[in-house]
Amino acid sequence: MAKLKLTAKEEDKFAAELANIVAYVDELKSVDTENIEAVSHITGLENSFREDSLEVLEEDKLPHGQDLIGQTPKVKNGYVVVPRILSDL
Amino acid sequence: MTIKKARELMDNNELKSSTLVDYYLDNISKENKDLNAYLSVFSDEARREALETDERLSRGENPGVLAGIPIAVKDNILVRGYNATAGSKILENYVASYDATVVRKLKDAGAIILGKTNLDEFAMGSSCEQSAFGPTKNPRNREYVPGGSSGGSACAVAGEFALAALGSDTGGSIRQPASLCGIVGLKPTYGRVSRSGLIALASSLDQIGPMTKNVYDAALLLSVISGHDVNDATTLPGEKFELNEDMFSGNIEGLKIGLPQEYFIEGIDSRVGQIIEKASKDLEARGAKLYPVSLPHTKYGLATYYIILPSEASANLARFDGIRYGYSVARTEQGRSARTEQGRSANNSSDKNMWDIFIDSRSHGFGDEVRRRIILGTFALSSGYYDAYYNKAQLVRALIRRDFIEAFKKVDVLLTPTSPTLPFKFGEKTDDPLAMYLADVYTVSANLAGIPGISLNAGEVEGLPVGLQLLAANKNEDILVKVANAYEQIYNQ
Repeated sequence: MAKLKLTAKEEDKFAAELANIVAYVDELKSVDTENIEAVSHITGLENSFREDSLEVLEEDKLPHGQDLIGQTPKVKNGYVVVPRILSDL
Repeated sequence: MTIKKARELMDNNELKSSTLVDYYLDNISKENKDLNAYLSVFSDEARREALETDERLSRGENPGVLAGIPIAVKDNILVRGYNATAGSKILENYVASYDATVVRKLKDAGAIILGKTNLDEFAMGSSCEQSAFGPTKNPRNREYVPGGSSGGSACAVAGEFALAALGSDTGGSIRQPASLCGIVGLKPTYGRVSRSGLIALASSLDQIGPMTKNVYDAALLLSVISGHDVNDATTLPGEKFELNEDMFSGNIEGLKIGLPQEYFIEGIDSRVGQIIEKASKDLEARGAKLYPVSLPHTKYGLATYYIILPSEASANLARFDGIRYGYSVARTEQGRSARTEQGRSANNSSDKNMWDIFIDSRSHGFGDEVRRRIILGTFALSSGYYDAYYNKAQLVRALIRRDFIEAFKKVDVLLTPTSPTLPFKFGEKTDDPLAMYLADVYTVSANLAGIPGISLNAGEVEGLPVGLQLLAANKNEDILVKVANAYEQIYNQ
């Protein structure tokens, strides 16, 4: 799930460190949370809407998508080229 | 020099922005090699903008409240056209394609961006030692860490390499380095400042805030960068922070200050405790009233934080896939020339399938602490453990928030140390991630509860600064500023 690869040495190191951390966070299991509801937004903000209107941006405020697309390993005609995925799934 | 002072001098034609910019650039060129506060410096552009500002000021124009003021920006905040590495090898060559909202607001107010400052990789750390580009040193004593993750920004302000800086605070990353370097650092209420253009660590906790020489400057910068933003749906509607005279009156007569008893027990360095106690007595002598208060779930704050943060971080960092921007093994193996060979390239990557590119790019691009937290986060979110960890942490978070709501029914602000210990030396905590996490024990709860907090210098032990933290209820930065400013007056007397 993490999509990470570790060497055998790293595995040993991380396993020990993470075991420590998990043992530490395990103390939460002792907290009584009966009848407590999780908070979805910490300041209580609900539904954030904006008006569906046309906004004309000044030139220097326009998004520069190509500046970003140009940073991908492979580009073709302004599109990102990605490896075939269907056979790999 | 402070922003306020510099602006006064400039308005009276006694100081030029270009003189100020040259002063800082000169300091940077002499010292940055050793201190490593900046990852990139915009010398030419800063000089050009300073001259332009001087010209406009001499024509009697008013380019804004921050006209000509040189400011440093943490390298996880985007400035268009410049690198934004977030302290990570995976973004080493990434160039920002737009300005963060806060950067746009700084520019609109006339500020001059001097450069981008160092940080722990993706803001994960409390010492600046986790940066892929080497640690930053504490300018107060170079054998010590500057704190983190906004250590570069703290070093820039404390070491005379910028007049002020922006940092980001997810669990103390503004307040703790401010404390360790002896400056002021303010974490606003969640939603007060737009996160658009901030490279996300944990989206429900992250806030951008000012790091400055004094309380006034912090409040001034907050007034510039705060406000609702259509590009960040979590910003509070119509909640721009404005300065007022009452904040700087120094009058705290009758103001109620709470001392949370859970913050003054085991783990605190007694020398830190004494300084903070003296600070509270000084405020009492000024007319404030002290009350002991209890935040019963304090001891669960750090554990809650270290479940919620890695969970959100693991999701946020999933975007680094080696397919789009950032470091990619696909790029290095085919060489950059492949990019221009349009058309023929799609099949060249057949040696490596998508998952190879994905996994290899991430495994090489991310450092140890980042990989540790991604693994921890995906574990806490995995189907078998979701309820036991992530969900449980969210419930405890609600209890921590409730503790603060109850406390602020009784008092106006809470006063605590910012950090339980004195600044520490390089390497002291790097082998023990849990010990490093404990450096944030007094700061994480404010992020979990969404409330604002400020750290300011309250004294020294053996030449090492000790910071005082003040916390207030949601949207009450005005009270924070008022008490912090009063304390600063007492301290400077």
